[in-house]
Amino acid sequence: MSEPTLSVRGLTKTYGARPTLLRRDPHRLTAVDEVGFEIAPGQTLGLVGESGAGKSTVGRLVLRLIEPDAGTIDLLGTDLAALPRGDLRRMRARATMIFQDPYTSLNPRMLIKDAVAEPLIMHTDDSRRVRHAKALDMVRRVGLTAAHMERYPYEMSGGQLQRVAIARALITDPAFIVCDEPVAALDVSTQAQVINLLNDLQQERGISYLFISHDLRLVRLIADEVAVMRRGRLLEKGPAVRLFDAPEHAYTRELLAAIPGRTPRARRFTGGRSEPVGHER
Amino acid sequence: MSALETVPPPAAADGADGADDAVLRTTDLTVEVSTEHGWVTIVDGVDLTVGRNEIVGLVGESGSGKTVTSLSVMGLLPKNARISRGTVDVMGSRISALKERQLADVRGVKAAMIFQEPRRCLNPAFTVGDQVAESLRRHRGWSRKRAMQHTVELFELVEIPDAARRVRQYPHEFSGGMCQRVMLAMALACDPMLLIADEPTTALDVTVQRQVLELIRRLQGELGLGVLLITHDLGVVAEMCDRVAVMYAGQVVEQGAADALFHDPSHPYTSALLQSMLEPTRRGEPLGFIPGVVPPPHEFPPTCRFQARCAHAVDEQCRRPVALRELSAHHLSRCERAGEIDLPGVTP
Repeated sequence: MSEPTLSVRGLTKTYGARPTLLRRDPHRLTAVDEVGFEIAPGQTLGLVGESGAGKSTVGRLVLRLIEPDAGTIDLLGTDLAALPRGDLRRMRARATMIFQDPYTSLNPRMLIKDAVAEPLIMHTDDSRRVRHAKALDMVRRVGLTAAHMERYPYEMSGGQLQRVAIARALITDPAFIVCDEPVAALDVSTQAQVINLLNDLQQERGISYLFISHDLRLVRLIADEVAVMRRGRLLEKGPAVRLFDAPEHAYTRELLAAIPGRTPRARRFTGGRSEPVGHER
Repeated sequence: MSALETVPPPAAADGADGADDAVLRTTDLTVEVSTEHGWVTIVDGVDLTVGRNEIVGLVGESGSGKTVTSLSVMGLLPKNARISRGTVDVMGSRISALKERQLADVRGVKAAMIFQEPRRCLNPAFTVGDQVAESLRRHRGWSRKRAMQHTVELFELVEIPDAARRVRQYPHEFSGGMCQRVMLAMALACDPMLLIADEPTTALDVTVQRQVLELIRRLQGELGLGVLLITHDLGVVAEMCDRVAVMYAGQVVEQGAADALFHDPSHPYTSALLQSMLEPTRRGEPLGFIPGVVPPPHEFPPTCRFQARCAHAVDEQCRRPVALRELSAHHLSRCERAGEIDLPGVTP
């Protein structure tokens, strides 16, 4: 097997007061606790769990958008965790991120064409003309048109904006993208378009995704491997098919059981509880 | 009268023809909103019935008019919107004809509503118990002490553990799921017969969502409530609802029993929504989706409103306004071609 795109070991992040001379052991919250995983080229790791499990923190840590307390982050053969801050910027072209809410992740005062082309200013010496030509190609690739280039974010729908966010994440030709709840803010009818687009782009370019979501139905559609997090720890990790069909951990089973079904079932509630609680009756 | 002292649940209502059992009935409900394009119709001729003891789902994409419909039922439309035609009756009260002062006597007593983000609906500066008790003091004229005692019972009804202690806590001490339980306690405080739940679990985790949905279903059964459940998640609809109304661009486009609608949809929009529904399947097969977006209200076409996005549209038939018509008993569709086209649903 080829070298993994991303290999993370012992990733840890704690929050709270630092130990001092007088309080050696202050109360600290461990948001991410010794998390480790690998993502192979062209593969998707789905990261699932409830709110507060530490999913998004992991997503930010692996790009060093926040500083880890411990652990190694081997991204494309470079240890990101040990990289001096100044050298980080170079890596940002190769590893990008798509956020949950495109209405807040895109600058409302920037035209779409400028938002998409902006990363090129940082990472290339392209002229303005070349940048916009590349932006147009990318905008077309994600299913929008030249007319959308001249618009502001408020003039577009959520699904279109998330395509813009994808175009912006792709324009520097990254090998790895963190997708943090990329469709949670979208309508069901549009979610599918964005998921299909992410799948197509992956096949076309061999990009690796870390796909963070609380919706297991989505993760099943897109992930090759799935990791389940709870309270900062990885509970279970494995091939998507195995994990969904034969979950090992009780918590994973609980998560799977909570997914709403897709066919109407006998749903009329008949019984009460064993006994009414605390009422006069 | 406490929430549990209400009359035992009546036999399931046949909501579709509903007659006297309807807790909610809208007739030709039409809502206009004032925009830069003048007064624009955003909800157009909605006939909706919710019987006692049934859960009716209202589904559709953002911009389809679900929330505006529910707000007009509660008399909660913003100042720039008005009911321009039609009526809303809740438990025999003509809501659409009431003044704001009279509405305040109906809200909470006959009909109550819970919302998507429970934490935002609670005042962070007051204890949750005070906020639930407020409704009892306002509507029933109860003393603070009596209202608070009953609030503890309501907290037990919605399964908040350690109720006597929890009523004295503030919203920030509650999780999202627990906040929604507080909202439910508040909604049910004065024994309404109609509960409107607008995306009640969208902001919650999947395990918590399940608990809250089960709670709503249990309360609905025990109290014989009529529930109007607004959601964009068809999985939730499949689990919860007896009947479903699908809205598109301000109109109901299909309405019927949940089973019939899921297995044998008769409007292309319903079918397309079902095909884009997330389901636990293998990866690799592209998901179905609906190209384009819901048009803004001032651009609702005079034709079939879904026509521009419809895979089955043909020139002649679909280029004129389409009426909602009954295909079989209680199954309505607003598609000219219903019956002649084969629309996939979900397989059991």
